[in-house]
Order: sequence, then C-alpha cells, then structure tokens
Amino acid sequence: MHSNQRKTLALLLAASLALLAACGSNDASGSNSSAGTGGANASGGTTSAPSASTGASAGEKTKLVFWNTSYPTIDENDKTKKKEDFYIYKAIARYEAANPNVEIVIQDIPDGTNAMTKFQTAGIANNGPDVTNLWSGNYTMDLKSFIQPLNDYLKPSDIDAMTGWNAVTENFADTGTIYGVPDGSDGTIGILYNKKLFAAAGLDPEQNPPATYDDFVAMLQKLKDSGVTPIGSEQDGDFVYFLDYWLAQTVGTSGINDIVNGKTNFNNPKLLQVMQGYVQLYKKGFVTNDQPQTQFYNRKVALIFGGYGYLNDARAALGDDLGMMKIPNFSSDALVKNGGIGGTGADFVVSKSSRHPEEAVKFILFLVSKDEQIARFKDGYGKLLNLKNVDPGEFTNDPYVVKQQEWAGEPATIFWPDNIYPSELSDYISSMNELVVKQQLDVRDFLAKLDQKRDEINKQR
Amino acid sequence: MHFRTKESMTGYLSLLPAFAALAAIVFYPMVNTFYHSFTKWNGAESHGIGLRNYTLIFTNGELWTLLRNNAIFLLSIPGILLLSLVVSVLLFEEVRGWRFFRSLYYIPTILSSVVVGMLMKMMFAQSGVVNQLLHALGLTDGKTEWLTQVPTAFMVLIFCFYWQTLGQGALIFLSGLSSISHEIFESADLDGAGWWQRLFHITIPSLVPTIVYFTVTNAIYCFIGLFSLVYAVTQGGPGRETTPIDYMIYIKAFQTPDQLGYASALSIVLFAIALLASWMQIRLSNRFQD
Repeated sequence: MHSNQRKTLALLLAASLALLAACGSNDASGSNSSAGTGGANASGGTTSAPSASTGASAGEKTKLVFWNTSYPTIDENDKTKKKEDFYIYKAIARYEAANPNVEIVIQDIPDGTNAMTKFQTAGIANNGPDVTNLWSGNYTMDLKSFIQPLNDYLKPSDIDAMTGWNAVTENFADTGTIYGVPDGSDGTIGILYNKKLFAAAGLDPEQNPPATYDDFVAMLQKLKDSGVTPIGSEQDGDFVYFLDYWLAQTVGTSGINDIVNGKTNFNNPKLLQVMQGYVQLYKKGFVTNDQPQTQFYNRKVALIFGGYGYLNDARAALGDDLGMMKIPNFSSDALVKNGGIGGTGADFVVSKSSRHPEEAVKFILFLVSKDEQIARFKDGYGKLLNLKNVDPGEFTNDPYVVKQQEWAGEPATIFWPDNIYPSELSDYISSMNELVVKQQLDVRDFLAKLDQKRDEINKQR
Repeated sequence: MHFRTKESMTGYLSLLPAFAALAAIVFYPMVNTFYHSFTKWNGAESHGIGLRNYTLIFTNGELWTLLRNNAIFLLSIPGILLLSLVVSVLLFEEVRGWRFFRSLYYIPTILSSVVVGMLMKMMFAQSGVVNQLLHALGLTDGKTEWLTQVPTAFMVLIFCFYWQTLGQGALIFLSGLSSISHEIFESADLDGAGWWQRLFHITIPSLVPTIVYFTVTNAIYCFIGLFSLVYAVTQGGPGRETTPIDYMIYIKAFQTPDQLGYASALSIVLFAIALLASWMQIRLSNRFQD
C-alpha cells in the first residue's frame, strides 16, 4: 500500500472513531466543562455559585433558555391574540427591562409527564434549558441527576417568604438539599357544584353539607332522582383529586409514607372499604366520564371535583349558580378531617447544564415574587399565591378564591399524594384505576397489584 | 500495488464512510443498549447489576400481558392480508371506480400514525361520530365507551392498523400482481376458469413471495411499530390492557426514573422475540413455497 493510501485509511479510521466517541460522550454526570456550569454538583448543597458573567464576556447579554410548560401562550377562544399579550411574555419584558444584560429565550414545552420526559432526555444529552417548570415532590426528585441544587443561590429571606419548600426539598424535609423553587399553590381540591341543580333536587349544601360518605351518597341519589347526572369525572376516575383524598385522610399523612415505604399495605381493610365505597358511586350510576367539565359548564352534570384551577371557567359558565364545598369525609373516624388535597404541585428548577444558574435563580425568584404572582393571578393564570401572610383582598374579591387561599393554608390540606408516591407508582395507580371504575378489575385485586408494584419499585431502588 | 488489490482497497475505502455511519447510528446504540441492559441506569449514572433486569422482566408477570397484547395484533395480520389481497385483486381487475378507490385506500397510508390515532380517538369518543351514527341507526344507546374498556379498545386499535395498512398492502399486492404474466390469465380464461378459480389457482400461488414479504414486515411492525398508534389512541390503557412491548419500553425509559437499564433489557428481549418471529415466519414460508 502506498503511504498516501495508508494515510487516507488512517484518517478515515480516526474520523470514524472520533464520530463514535462523540456519540458516546453523553455522560451527563461527568464533566460539565463544555457547558461551563461553574462547578455545580448534585451531591447536595455544596455548589459553589459561579459568576453571573460565566460564559458571557463584558457587554454581552446573558441568555437564559426558559422551557415554558405551564404558562398559557395560546388562547383557544382567540387565536389572534398576540404572544406579547400573554402574562409570561409581559413578565419577561419587565424582567429584561430591569435586567438589560439578560435575555430570556422562551420555548413552549408540553406540560406534565411529557415535560419530564423532555427534561430527562435533554439532561442525558446535557443540553437542558436554564429554567423550566416541573411537577413537584417525587416527580422532581426523580430527575435530580439533571437538576442543580439551589441551596447556595437562595437567601434565607427568599425561603422565609414562601410556603411549599417541603415539596422541593429532598425527602420532603424542612431542611436539606433544595432542588426547586415552589411555584404558587393549587389551592385545595373540593367540589364545584351547580346551585340551581342542587336546589331543584331539594338540596342546600351550604346549610347542610354532607359530612360522611353516607350523607354524600344520599345527596347524589337525590340529584339522580331529579333527573341529572350527579358527578362528572375524568376517565381515570379523578383519582388524584378525589379518591386520593379519601385514601389519604383514612391513613393520615404518616400512613401514606408508611405505605410508600412498605411498612403497611394498600391492601388493608380500611382502604378496601374506601375503594368499595368509591366503586359504589359508579355502580349506582352517579358518575359520567364523558367530557366532565364541559357537561358541568353546560349544566348537565351537577358537580365536578376541582380546586382553584377550575374556578375561572366555572365562574364564567355558571356565574352566581356556582357553589363550592369541601369533599365530605369518608367516615367519622378518618384521621384527617374536613380537609382536602392540594398545595404546591409544581416548581421551577435549574437544569444542571445551565451555564448561568445564579441568573436563572434570580429569574425564578422574580417570577414567584409577590408582584408577579399577583400579576399572573390577575391575568387569569390557574394558580394561587404561595406567599406567607398573604391577604387575598389585595388581589381578589371573589369569595371562593378567598376561601381557596384560606383552605390551601389549613393543616387539614394534605399535600398531593401522587407527588409523594414514587412517580412510577402514581402512573400505575392512574392507569389501573381506569379498570376499577369500569369494573373490570376487582378492588381487592387492584390494591394487591398496587402493593406488588410498590414492592417491585422499592426493591429496585 | 497490483491493480486488483488497488481496486479492492478503493472499494473498501469507499464503503468505509457508510460503515462508519452505520456503526455510529445502528451498531453503537445496539451495543450500548446491550451493555446497559445489565446496569441500573438513569441516563446520568449507571452501575452493573448483572442479570437483575432480565430476572425482573421474566418474573414480575408484566411481560406476559405485554406479549399477549402483541400477540393480539399479530393475530390480526391474516385479516388485513386477506383484505389487502381482495382489494388489490379488484383494483387489478379494474372494477368500476377503481381509480377512485385506489386513491381512497392509499390516502390513510400517507398519514402519520399520530394523525390517524387522534382522528380515531375523536371518532370513537363517547360523544363521537361513531356512537352518534350507531345510535341514529338504532343499533346502540350511543354511550359505548370504546377506548376505556377491552376488548373495544383493541378493536379500535386494530381498526386503525387496518385502515392505515390497507393502502400499503393493496399497493404491494398490486405490484406483485403486475409481475404475473397476462398470458397465464388469458389461457385460464380460454380454459373456462372462473374468477375464484383464477384467484385460488393462479393469483394467490403467484403472490406467495409478496404475501411472505407483507406478513413478515407487518409481524415486525406488530412488535416494534405500534408505539405511535397506541400512544395516540389509548396510551396503553385501560390499565396496561393495550400496552405492547415497545410502548412499555417508552414508559420505562422516559416516564419512569432510573429505569433506562430495565428499558434496555426489555429492548433486548423484544429484539430477540422479533428476530425469532421473523425467522420462524421465513422458515414456514420457505416450506410453503417449496
């Protein structure tokens, strides 16, 4: 072989190997030198805060990429509405005006589990956004390999001003490694009902609210007898809104932790009783799963389960006919009574591949500041405030919103159990629950399957 | 250098970029997946756990449900095979309106599975057009929940599969039919063979290689191509009742933390199953051809 040919062959081989090596260098836990994170590490709370100017020379703007998973940027009723007219664009404009050296690049990303999938894959590729919004609790903790711990970027005054830090701190502890900044409050899930349909059935829950499961069933029967479908519920039976509350109040918050840890089982007589009561609602024909919200707004369904997030639409559809009450206790011996589930179900996180974590946290703190939380509330965005000592009178005169803000702060409000369960278990519960509500899976088998899944997950940890 | 050696070297060198690309895009991910199937991996960190992922796959009971779901799709292949065959023969014989029907059957093929899925999801919703139609005809009460219970959820998925595959099948069989000599048909006509006789004694035997191709490709599709359809229509539900293996790989890899190793192991299992199924089919079809 000529030396030229050998050289060409060697070059081609080297190029091939380089290509392979490039494809293989996806070790997100490894060096972030290319991303220049300034030495942030996931070991918890030991991150050395880099300079805000890292990666940007003097006079250059710091560019922050913000994956928007939750702020609306499309109005289904008015497709001509400009992006600049939506709250988040206005907020970004305000932030950029106050921080002329920062440019926020907003990218819309699907919400929920899809957002987490995208964040995970970006984390693996080490090209995640600077800031994004995820579901809190275990949903966030499951992705902590790709999230910057924020302890070193937060001042005690930042933490003191807000509630919901347990939902973003490792092990739901009061202190420890913080992986996110709590994003507002979802209020407390209750019952939104149509006062007119209730009155037609001879019911006045304001004067005589149902206190137990039996009262609730009697109320639903009267509604059904009046010729209306009592409950509108999502395909999965509104597990996280409704059944989760009955399960959680029966065993208490510590009971949920015991179930998650495998100290007690889902398949126990108390929870079995709750499940049987839940299925009875379907067997008695009280529930429709067909477009529940639309049917409620069209006055064909008497009640839906929902928190603050549904209030705006419900108020627009029903006006003064809208009523709101708490979900009745399943039984008088429940460990938690007269509460609901809710709290801070989402948070802002900074990706580990962010080159400007300090600037990213500043932007997040701007978004959750009092002025901005009030501004987004007034813009109709579906979250309440998670600030301490907030006076709802400063931003609303709707009595139900005031009530939601009060409920959210009550100790009887249990934090979203689906954010406490391992996220894989939450997904499994929701999918299997569909079979339960269609009576294709016996409740005892359902609870046994949950225990089996829980054990499998714990074994793999 | 000898001319032949030089020519060989040039040939190999010209192939090298293609092999390098294949290695990077196909072989490296395969080897990487195989390696990670023996690890606990979250995308950032991994550590070896031996055969634990495989042990779990074969002992937790989930695999059998997934295999059953794949098997249901597999069992639906003869139906679409027959349909495609009949449609292609009718088109080949240029029945009245064949040009219109050729376009009609082909249109769904060019739509993505997600579009087909979303369309079907709307049609088969409780308040969708299918229920309205059935109710108007007095056949049902119009409240059937097609997608939230089995077996109706499967029926909808298989309907989507058929609807999307029919055009492709008809096209494949049409090309197979075009390769059959007209003289054979003319001779059969002269000998007084009827339509059914021509179908069973000339058309179908001549199409065996095409049938094998169609069956094998669709069998592979039933193992590795259902994800987008299932994702768009049922999301594997209710429960895990319509979840095939490839959809479970997605759930484990991207919707479950720390399970990329398990998803890798499941991918290897699926690879082995698809390989085995294809091999068995080809063996059987060879015997049939003989």
